Amino acid sequence: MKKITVALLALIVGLVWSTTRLDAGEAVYKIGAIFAVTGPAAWLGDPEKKAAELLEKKINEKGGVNGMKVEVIVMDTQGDPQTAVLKARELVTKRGVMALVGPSRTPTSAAIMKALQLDKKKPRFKVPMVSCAAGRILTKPVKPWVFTTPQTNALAAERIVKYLSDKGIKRVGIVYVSNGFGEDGYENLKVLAAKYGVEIVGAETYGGKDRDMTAQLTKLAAKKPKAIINWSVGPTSVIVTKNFKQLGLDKKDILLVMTHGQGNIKYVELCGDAAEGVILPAGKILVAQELPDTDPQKQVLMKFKEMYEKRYKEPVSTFAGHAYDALMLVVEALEKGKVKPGDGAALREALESRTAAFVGIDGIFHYNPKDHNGLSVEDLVMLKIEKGTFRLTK
Amino acid sequence: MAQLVQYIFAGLTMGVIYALTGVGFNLIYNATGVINFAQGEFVMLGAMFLYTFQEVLHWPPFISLPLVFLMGGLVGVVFEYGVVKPLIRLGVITVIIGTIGASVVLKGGAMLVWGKNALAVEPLISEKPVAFLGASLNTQVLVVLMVTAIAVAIFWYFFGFTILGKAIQACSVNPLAARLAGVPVERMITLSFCFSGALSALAGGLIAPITLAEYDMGTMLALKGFCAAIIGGLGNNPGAMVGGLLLGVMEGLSAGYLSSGYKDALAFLVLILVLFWRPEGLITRGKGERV
Amino acid sequence: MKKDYLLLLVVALAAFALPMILPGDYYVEVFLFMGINILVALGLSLLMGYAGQISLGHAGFYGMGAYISGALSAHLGWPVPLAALMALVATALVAGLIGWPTLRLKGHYLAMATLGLGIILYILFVQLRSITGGASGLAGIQPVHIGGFYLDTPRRYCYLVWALVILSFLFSINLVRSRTGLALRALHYSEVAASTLGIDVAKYKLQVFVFSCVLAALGGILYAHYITFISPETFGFMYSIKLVVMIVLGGMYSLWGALLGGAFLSLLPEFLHRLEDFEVMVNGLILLMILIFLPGGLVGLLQKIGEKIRGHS
Repeated sequence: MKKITVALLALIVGLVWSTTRLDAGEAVYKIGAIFAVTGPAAWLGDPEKKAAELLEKKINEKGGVNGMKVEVIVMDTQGDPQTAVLKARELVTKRGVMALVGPSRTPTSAAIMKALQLDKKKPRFKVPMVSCAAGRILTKPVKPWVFTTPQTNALAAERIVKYLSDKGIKRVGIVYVSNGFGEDGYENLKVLAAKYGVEIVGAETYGGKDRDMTAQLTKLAAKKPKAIINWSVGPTSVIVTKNFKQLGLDKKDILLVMTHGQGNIKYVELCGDAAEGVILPAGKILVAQELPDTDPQKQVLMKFKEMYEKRYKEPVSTFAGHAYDALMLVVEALEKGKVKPGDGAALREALESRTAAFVGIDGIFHYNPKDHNGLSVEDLVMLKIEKGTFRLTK
Repeated sequence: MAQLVQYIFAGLTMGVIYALTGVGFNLIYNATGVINFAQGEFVMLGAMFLYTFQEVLHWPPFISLPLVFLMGGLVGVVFEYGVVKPLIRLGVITVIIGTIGASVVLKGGAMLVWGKNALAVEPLISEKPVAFLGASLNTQVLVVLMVTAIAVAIFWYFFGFTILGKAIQACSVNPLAARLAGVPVERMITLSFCFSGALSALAGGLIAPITLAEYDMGTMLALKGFCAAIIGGLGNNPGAMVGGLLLGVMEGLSAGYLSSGYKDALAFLVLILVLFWRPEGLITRGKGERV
Repeated sequence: MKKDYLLLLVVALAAFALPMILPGDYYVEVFLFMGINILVALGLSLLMGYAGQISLGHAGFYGMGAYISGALSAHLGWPVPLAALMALVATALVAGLIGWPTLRLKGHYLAMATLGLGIILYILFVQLRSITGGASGLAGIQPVHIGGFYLDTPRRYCYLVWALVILSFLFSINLVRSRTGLALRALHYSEVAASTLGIDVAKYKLQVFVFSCVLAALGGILYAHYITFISPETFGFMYSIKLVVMIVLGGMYSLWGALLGGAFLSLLPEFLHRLEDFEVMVNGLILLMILIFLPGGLVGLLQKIGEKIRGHS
């Protein structure tokens, strides 16, 4: 009995003690970065974390922002909403960051948005969040304190449907992974297909840990579509590609269309020959060399690509680009708006109104009070996989 | 018709994987009464080992595969000494929790060694699928099916007709009596873990070309393998084989004819129904209860 | 038994004082989530320690609470207490349905059935999109308020959570002392003996199981109305496992094990997150070490230390 009391007291003392290490208030821009560094979405969070850490170093080597250093504090959500909320709270209330960059996925981003009341006009803590997730819930309708960087599913869906309809393909089947990303993609496709007069002959789903999708593909193929669109990220997209080839659907005159979720050369490597001929919309970073010199993004893309690949000895992906954009948009806003350290409200204003036409990796951003994603269909290009690399489609 | 066959093939592909994992569960359950939550990690390690031998070191399959088998056996033995031995005196529940801890360690370790991205492994024979009745089957699945059949045959012979096998069997039925009859029970348990680890690792190596190798591939495999083992009657090896294939085919068919979103739910629903109506498993002889 | 009440009083005082002492919202929120974890773990501790059964699907019941209450509040605008009550009743019914047939069997059939049910529930959370919002999550859940007073800061909500934790402990201590508790203890030693004494083993086990599921649902309700956004991954298989681990770490044969285990696992990430990628592995190693070297869990450790101190004085 006594001992348990003692232990409880010890616990309390320990807790209080660990909180006393408060950071001294120097003049630095503190930015919190939260990504799914471990856990089921680690392949997504890992390049994002790497990009953020690399940029912190580069920015400070060049003398920081407005003459002050930038401190990026990276935390791990483990892909879990509750952990994400706690980490965000820690960053905001204990570490005193003025902006959040990340998280990687929609559910974690939405949980933070709700817990910190970033969807309210006047939250208790005035800290804008620039998320690297693409879900509709984050930007539609506009949430005052939430911005996003990846091309939304709506844009990707529009790019795909436009491309197919230009090629005269009017019958499509859809397979998607049953998570937020897949569902959102499917909902968008439904709307846009109707708009462009493309018929959806069927839609099938699979779980994120499923490793055989031949049944879903067979069922779809029986309905004679001209193209099958797969909406997922990670290993499942590799399995779908391999299964598609195994069933010989490419020989039955069906086109396999992937999404911007496959914007990673690792996808092509994992698929091997099966990836040949696959079509996908993606950010321009994957074909930076192929872009004409007149492309306004080319310089930025090439610079980031070289920097990232030199430092980490791995090919750059669009995921790293999401984090680049999130962090650099914050930096841009700090500079353009002459924001003082710690002034999150001014930063939010600057993000919304002073970053116009920011040239990033995912595209050219036009944040404004009505649009907190700020990208357009033009920021996506349709790519085709040929001989193991991404090529621009003509 | 071609469609039906294709759904069945889809089911078989996953079914053999469940079946092999299920048999791995059984070997350990029979020896100790423990449900090993790290079983999926054994399979994952097998896939990772094969990746290392075949894709990194470029050793030929006839060296890599037996090596994966041996390494798996080693993992099983280390697992028994490190986790099960120190805990077994504290009761079965504690050991089960211990296996959960071990699975976290193995998963975390694999993430550090092999990284967070999925890894591709070349199939043994060829990428070309075989066509049958208008449907196509991944050649690798045939390889897995064949190896599985051989493994089951060996186990069947081993447990039914050899002294060693019968001794292991005896330990699981009644350890005390076995000990009195002069069977070195401890060593038999170690042997069971060795077999289970080796078989699961081999399974992992064989399925890696189909599923990719990934550090967190174990959990789902363990759950489905466990499902297979229960449907077939926990502890019954041929039962687990049939249970696994049944489970896979059921999934394939429900993805094809019902709803792909609910196919996993169906698998676990069957699990619950089996528990309600035939807790001893669908495929099992009547068995006296142990007191 | 008297000391249990005393202990509870100490915990209550600590829970009252801590949110005021702790600097900043962050630690209060850690303490808040700790409270929710302990609440869910408490039910499981009764089930494991007193009825000798494991549930591997408690995350599913946790999710049922969150989703039923959340959906009623978000879609139909039900007031929170009513939605919460509905969620508790529904969870109790489902728990009864699954527990009834499996608890009549000897062995760990409940564990297997709950494992399956937990996963089925998870799939339902993902697939019943019109109700649950699917994998993208359910937004628009109402926060808890008393009149115009909104419990929407960590500090305010923390008091609600811990008040319920204390009440649940009080109820559980009484349960353990009651006829049911005594019967359960008897059945822990020998089920056969207990049943020959005329104890309806299955009935008592079922009561405890249903109660433990209701506590899990209560935890889920608290989670849902605090964050006001829920998505399926919070209620997956890994959380079920984490709960079982809490109980074993804390000490299986004492209600206080749930408190200590829940607190320990909630605080552990605070100390480990600097390890970055090594965190996962170290987590598992710590669990194994405690299992091997502290067989009675944290409660056992404290008892041992207590005996040592007493021996010296």
